[in-house]
Amino acid sequence: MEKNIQHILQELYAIDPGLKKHEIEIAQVIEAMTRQKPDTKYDENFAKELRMRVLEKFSTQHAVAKKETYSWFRSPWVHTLGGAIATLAIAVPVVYFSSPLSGGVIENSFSGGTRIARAEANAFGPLQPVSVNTQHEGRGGDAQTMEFGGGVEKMSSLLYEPVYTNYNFSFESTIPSLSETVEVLKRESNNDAGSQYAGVLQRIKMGLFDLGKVNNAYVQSFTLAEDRDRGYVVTVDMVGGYVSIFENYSKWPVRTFQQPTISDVLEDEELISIADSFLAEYGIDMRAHAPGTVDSRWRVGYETATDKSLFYIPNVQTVVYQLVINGKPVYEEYGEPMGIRVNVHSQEKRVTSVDGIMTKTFSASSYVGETDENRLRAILSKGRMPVYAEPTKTVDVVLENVSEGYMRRWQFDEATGTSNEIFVPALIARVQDFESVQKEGLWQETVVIPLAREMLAELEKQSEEPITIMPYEPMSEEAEYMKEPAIEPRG
Amino acid sequence: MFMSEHINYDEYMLRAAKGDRNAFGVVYDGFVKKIYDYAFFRTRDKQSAEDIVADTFTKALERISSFDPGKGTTSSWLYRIARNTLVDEYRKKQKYASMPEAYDIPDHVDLGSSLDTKEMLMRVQGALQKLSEKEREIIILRVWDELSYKEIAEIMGKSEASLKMATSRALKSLRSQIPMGIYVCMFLAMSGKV
Repeated sequence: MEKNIQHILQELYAIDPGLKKHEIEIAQVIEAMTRQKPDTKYDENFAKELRMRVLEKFSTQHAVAKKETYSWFRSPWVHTLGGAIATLAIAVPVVYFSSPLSGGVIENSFSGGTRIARAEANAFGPLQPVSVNTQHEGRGGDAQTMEFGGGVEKMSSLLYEPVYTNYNFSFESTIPSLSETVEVLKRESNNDAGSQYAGVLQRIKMGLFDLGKVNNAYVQSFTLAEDRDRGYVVTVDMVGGYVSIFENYSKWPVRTFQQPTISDVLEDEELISIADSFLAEYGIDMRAHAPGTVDSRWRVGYETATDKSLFYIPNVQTVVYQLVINGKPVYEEYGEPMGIRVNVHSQEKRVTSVDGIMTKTFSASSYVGETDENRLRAILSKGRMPVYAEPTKTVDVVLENVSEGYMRRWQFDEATGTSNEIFVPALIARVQDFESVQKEGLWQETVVIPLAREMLAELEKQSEEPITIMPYEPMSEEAEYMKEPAIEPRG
Repeated sequence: MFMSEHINYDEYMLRAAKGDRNAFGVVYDGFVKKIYDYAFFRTRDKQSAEDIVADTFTKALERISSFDPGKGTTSSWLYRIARNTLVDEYRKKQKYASMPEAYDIPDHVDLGSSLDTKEMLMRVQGALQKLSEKEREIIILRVWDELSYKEIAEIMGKSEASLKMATSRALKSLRSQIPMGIYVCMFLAMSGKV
């Protein structure tokens, strides 16, 4: 502030040198006024949401500019018999082509972009309740009871003494306005895409087999492999709507494992740059994804390790490009950002694999939304972590930036025996000062609470029925039960 | 993340014009709050200010290929878009107070318990009214939005020298009409420093 005041004074003197003789008075007034800054009510959540929308528009704008040069089937590919220039070689052998395959984009869910079709209310059936987060129970939350046949086994003294941590979550930000209905999305696979691609393939005349004789054909999956040094294999799951990319191992040098050191780990900026370049090179549709961030959760373990030389440092780092739907970020049920994941080998500075590329065709259905803010506050205050009746310790955690997003989860449909991928509007809250809290055993950086009312019942139980841990005694050298004969001897 | 003095935003804008999405993100992060504050000071309404910000960056995207660092900085380019958007909205909707009234002391400003301060500010308001609309806007852009005279010149399409002269004339005129404290308060009223 002092520097700012001086700057203002110098400017005033440059315009009106006569002011200099009043410097003390002027400086006092400036300082007094500086303290009364009006609140412009700047909203970080608004800025973040707008940022996603703006960058999504940016990608759309540039994708349209590139569209004329992008074609799923390139006509020069037809002339591979004459000598290949293209770097892709189809895995299925092709003898000859009766007619050139036409170029152009085949419009379907694999064309990229996000499509949402409206369905009737509750169209996806009952939504299964979510429960507490036991996925990352680290050293802070293991429940060490085991029950076999009604009794309690005595545990080995080799097991570490468990720590049961209760986390008290508090937050000061407001909860976004709640709605009586929430629009749940279900990701749809598009079999039309498989049929369309089959139609193209069936025009190929193989001497070995007449593909045209396959009735009502649709492509389930296909794989393209790069015939080049350090090439990749692209697998397209037409039914599930996924694309994954892996190293074409036959084209990569055999890798002997070399434990990386911490200095081998690339800086985030370089990792993201390598991942960005790869995605751009292969024309992967990123319109619905936020910029990449590096998954660095392993670093906490490294920082807290007593002997860092024994700590396993991963040689592959992951850059995550979070999915964004309707301007809102998508998280997995337990708080990890959900989206495209690019794995980068630190020592080789190359991408090893990419997963999470998927079609974005959804149907949307209305469900009853939770409007009781107090109920949501109570659930947020437990952060979806287990609550123990007699905790070993209690840790206070502050949540910040409560905002709207989506929670992805898989819901099993008993009628069809399949799982549906649904995206539920959710409250998202980030753990403040996560690096410090992570050392207390909390692994989730983000708390995700669904806003569909019928999914919340289980979460309230954790407060009403805290977990009681059965006492245990360290096992002696020989277990008690082992001293007793298993069978009564005859006689 | 707000505007950093160490980032060359013109370079990032040029990269964005060539398709670098992350580069545009850097520019966005650097200016979103400044543009929001600029819009808020002139509309006194959060929702309206947010609409102006959204329109500004949308238009910036649409015109990104026209950005020319030889004709002005990224800062003045964005502010120019925001200013034009604001004027368009004002004309279309008649939604806001008249532009001159937008420079009034906002009701929500906490003037504290100092009656002297409040009286000073009230007299500053009166003094501002004595300036022409153009002179008032120059001073507000300098004091409220902390833009340099060079940037103001680029936004308003004037020369830097003429702007400084206009400012000097306006301030001298005010000095003769108001006490020293109020003169300085006028310079700081409701600015980013206040």
